[in-house]
Amino acid sequence: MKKTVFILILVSFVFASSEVLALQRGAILYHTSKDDTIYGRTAALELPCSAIQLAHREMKSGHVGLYIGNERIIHAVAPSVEETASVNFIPQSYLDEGCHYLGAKVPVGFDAWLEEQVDQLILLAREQVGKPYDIQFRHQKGPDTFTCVGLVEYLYEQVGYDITPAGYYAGGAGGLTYTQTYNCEATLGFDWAGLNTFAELVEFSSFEHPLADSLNVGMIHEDRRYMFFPYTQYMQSTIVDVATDIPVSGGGASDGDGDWNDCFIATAAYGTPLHPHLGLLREFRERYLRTSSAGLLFLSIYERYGPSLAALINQYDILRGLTRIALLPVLGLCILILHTGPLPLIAFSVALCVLVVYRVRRRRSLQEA
Amino acid sequence: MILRQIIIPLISALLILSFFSAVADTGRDTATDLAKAQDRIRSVEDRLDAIRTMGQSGDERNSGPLLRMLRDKREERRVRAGAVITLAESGKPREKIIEAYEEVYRDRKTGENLRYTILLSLGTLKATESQALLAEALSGDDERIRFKAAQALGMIGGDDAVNLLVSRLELERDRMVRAQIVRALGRNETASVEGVLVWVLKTDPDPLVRYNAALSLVQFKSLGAEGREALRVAREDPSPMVRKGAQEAGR
Repeated sequence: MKKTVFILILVSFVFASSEVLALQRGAILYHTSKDDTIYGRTAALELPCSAIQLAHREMKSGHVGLYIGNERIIHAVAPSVEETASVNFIPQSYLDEGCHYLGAKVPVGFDAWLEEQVDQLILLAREQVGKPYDIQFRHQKGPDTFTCVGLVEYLYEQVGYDITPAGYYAGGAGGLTYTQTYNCEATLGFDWAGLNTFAELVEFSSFEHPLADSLNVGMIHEDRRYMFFPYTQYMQSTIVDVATDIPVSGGGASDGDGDWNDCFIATAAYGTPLHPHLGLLREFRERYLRTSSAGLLFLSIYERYGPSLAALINQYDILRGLTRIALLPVLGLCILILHTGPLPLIAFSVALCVLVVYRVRRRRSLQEA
Repeated sequence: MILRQIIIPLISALLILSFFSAVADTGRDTATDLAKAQDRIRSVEDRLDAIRTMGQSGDERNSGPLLRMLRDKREERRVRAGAVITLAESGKPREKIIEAYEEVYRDRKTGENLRYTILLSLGTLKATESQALLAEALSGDDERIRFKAAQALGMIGGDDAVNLLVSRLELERDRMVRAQIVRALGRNETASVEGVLVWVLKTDPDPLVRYNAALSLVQFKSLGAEGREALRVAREDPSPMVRKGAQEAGR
């Protein structure tokens, strides 16, 4: 009897203590960028200054997403705001690069929020799904384009909660000011100095950058350019830490199919698919071959026999060299057609033929005479 | 003779031209935006940047390659989504864009986010031609698709879209979708829509839906007597949220 009572008490204790702590809907999730860096915390605002740096994800601004329940998030990632499983917040490829989860936060006093108030937040978040990502950081807070941090700020503002109540712009209050030197292809290799400020107390931090004017990047206010970084929001006292008990990382590294055919022969000839001439051939293919029936016929034959021919070329260096030489006139034709259009080339060819026929006939008539 | 006088000089000229172009290109990324956008060796971000620039150029010739990218099932999803957005911004050629949107949307293998983007873009384009597809989406099994279809119909507007939304409102069980239908109706200020919103504000069991009905009515430029009365009554609603929404009208 005593044993039964003891077991019952034990079981009820276990059940009572195993209450499921689910992360609240509306929680804001944060993670750092490559090598666990995030602007404002671990690194100065050394913004990337070349396309190559951007391509290698050197923009170390971190990332923000909104948890909407049922292990799903809504976040702004180029090219649009999307809804996805929470494990995709930090994909495996990002983990491999050293991105770390910073944690989840909710507004102060979030427990007292009405359920329909949180519902409204989620409703508005869903309404933004499919809208474009603000790749130039000019309208980060919507309503038509967003960045990750701007989306969350916008949504909370729409339901009456300002995460960053101190305002929009800063000259450095509560943050750090850095004098940065950029020396890259954008500055033609010369030193270019910029005064950058990371502010914790307000939303937008000011920055100077060699590419800012030409790419028209950032929000302009009183002749200075500003950007809204995730860590600014993360540091606000209006939001507090909450435990994360949902999976937030390790999702699919790639969301594409990755199955594609390309310039087999030229790739084999140049030994790399990155050679600039391949870009030229691809452009010619897309502009002229894929738009005509003759071109499509050529491509279908090429896609059938090209791979085996490319495999053969790959085996012999001499074939590689010969193919590169053989491709030169093709490239020349591509350059001419892409830069001038097909009509001038056709006109030139016709004129040349007429000239040849005229000269042949004239020579014959001279010989006969 | 032809070989000596024409073909050899022509090939020589092309060889020289190609040689100089190759030398000039060495070490520089001179690819055009189209080439960058299509180059699957590049990062997705780089390609998306090129796609955006193509859209900003206003060159209608770019729509062909963008449409092909969108239709290409082997293409990266984010690149396809970028093409959807850029095409919606350019809007030309309208018929081909809408045709491609519908084709991709109907493809069973198309992912959910690409579908959401397409539905929203149909709204951006005010694609009245796609109302059949949107009606189908509005009555589908997936509540998120229904949500986006309602949003798109609200953006398109007009009698047909409003009728579809009102019909669905009577059947819809998901509160989020009902709230979105109400918001979509709210974008189309007419006397009949006002009547529907008043009915929702008075009778819907869900505070989220009533709150959005109140918000929509508050934003009407010229509210009728029935609407004003419904908002006055809503200031006594059991839900503090609905009361707050209705009080906006008093300010």
